[in-house]
Amino acid sequence: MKPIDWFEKLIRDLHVLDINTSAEMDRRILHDTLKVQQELKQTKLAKTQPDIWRKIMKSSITKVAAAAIIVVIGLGILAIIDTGSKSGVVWAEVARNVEASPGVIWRLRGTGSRDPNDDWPNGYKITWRSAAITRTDNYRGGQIYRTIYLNYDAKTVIWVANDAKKYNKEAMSDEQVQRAQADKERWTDPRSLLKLCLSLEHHELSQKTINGVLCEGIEATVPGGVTGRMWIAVETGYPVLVEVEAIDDGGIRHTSTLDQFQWNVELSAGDVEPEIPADYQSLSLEGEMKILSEQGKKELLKVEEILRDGTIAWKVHVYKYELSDGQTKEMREGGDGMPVYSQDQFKEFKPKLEEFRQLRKAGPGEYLGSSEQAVEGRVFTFKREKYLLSDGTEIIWSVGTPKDVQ
Amino acid sequence: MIEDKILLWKFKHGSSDALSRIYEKYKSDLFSLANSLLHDLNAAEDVVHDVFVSFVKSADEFQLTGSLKGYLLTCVANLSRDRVRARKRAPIGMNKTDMAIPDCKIPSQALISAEELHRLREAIAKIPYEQREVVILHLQGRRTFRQIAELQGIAVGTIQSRYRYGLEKLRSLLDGEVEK
Repeated sequence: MKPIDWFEKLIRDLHVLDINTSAEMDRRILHDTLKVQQELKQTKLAKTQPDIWRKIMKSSITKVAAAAIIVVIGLGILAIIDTGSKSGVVWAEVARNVEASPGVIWRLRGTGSRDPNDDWPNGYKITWRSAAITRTDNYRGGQIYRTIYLNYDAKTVIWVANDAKKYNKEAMSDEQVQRAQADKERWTDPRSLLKLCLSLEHHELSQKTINGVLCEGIEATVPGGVTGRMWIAVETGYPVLVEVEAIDDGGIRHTSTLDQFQWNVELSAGDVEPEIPADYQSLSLEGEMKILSEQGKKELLKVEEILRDGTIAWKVHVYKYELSDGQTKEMREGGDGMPVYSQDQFKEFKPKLEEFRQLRKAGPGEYLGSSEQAVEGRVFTFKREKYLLSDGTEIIWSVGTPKDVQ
Repeated sequence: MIEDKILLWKFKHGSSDALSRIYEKYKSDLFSLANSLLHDLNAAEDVVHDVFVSFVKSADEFQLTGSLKGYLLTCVANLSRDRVRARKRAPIGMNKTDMAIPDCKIPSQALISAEELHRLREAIAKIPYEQREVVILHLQGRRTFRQIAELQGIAVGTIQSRYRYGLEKLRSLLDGEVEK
């Protein structure tokens, strides 16, 4: 009997109950929720805008004030974008540098998470990112234990679990690529963080030397309690350190740190794609066979049937798949008419099945002759044998093979 | 946590990107919870859909007091419970026990055999609802017993007992020792 904590571990740590949603489900839900959001925005605008403008434009004093506010806001935006700091960091230039960098590599660390599955504070992630690829290596104990590699141009995703010696390589749909691209705008991306900091109300910090590099920084706060500090090297005009912190309702301070930046790196897909060791097992096989099966690209080689007292109790089709890497794979699948057993029903049938298998191993049953039948558009010759179980159950064993290859 | 605060701020300012990101970030947790509780992928989709629509409608007044994930999971659990009660009152569909299992595995699931996964999911579907809810919320939803007790308005001790009975039942189901 397995201990209780084995079940706890299975559900909690291996996420065995987790499911993936289908793209269709996502589309339906997002369509409806975004529509509601849009409608609410329009209703709000329709309600508030005329009132505000009516009030402003009614009075000549507020008309002047409104014009002044518009000018001030305009100047403010210009100040955010174009004003350099006292000693030389021009933030507009930083934004341009960051945008122009063909690729960037950085490390992400954090503290304070209460999620036991999270690696903070012991682990860290190294991300390599360019317009064409993103690779994230998850480190635990100084070793890479998981890697996720996305190639937006080739529309492929590779997932490597070094701890389990398994990997998966599969194609992404256009929608998945789009979603993965949008994910780059997450707060853990230095470009997004810079944009966010500059779009918020922020102030300059005094100069600081980080790892021997003279830096200048800004601090910005997201209403709701997140503070971000971004430090830029005075000499190069590139970010060298980003610190983000927040305090949750339990009073726990959460921090995230992005550092070890390498800007202006060329990241070609070939250089960054993870190498899969020869002894790693592929999980793609199952996925490829599923696609081929849906497309009907499989060859039916054999049909096996068990009739129990005249009723189909078991039906298996053996298919041959030709995989993209040139390999062929045979797979046994439930055929049309294969009954669906509940656990209790199968428990009742299983001993009979076992007894029949033992009998068949011991020797052929009573030969009942052969017949021809078309299955999935191909003529099969079925040979039938009869077995009698100890409780009197009659089993007919029928095996069909294609007539054209006999 | 930091990302959620930023996303919520953007969401409250009407960002559709932030709303999409919140959905993408938590959809798997929410669907998994709803599906584990309801054993019906269509019903799970309805629940997640309704939770998100309500979430959007309450954006202006929304004040987060705990974690965003916790809030959304609680909404899903509450709505799932309502659906189960409604289903019990309905004349049909009472005995629907087949678990909806999408074909696609998530990476960590690939680390156990498909057969083991199937058996576990089937067994969980057979645990009484009240026990299953606690087991799923605690292990999958990462809710503490106290949080679940608050959610359901019952004593922490009762929640702990349901959890224990739920896991015992799961174990006996998987070991083939459950009474018929």
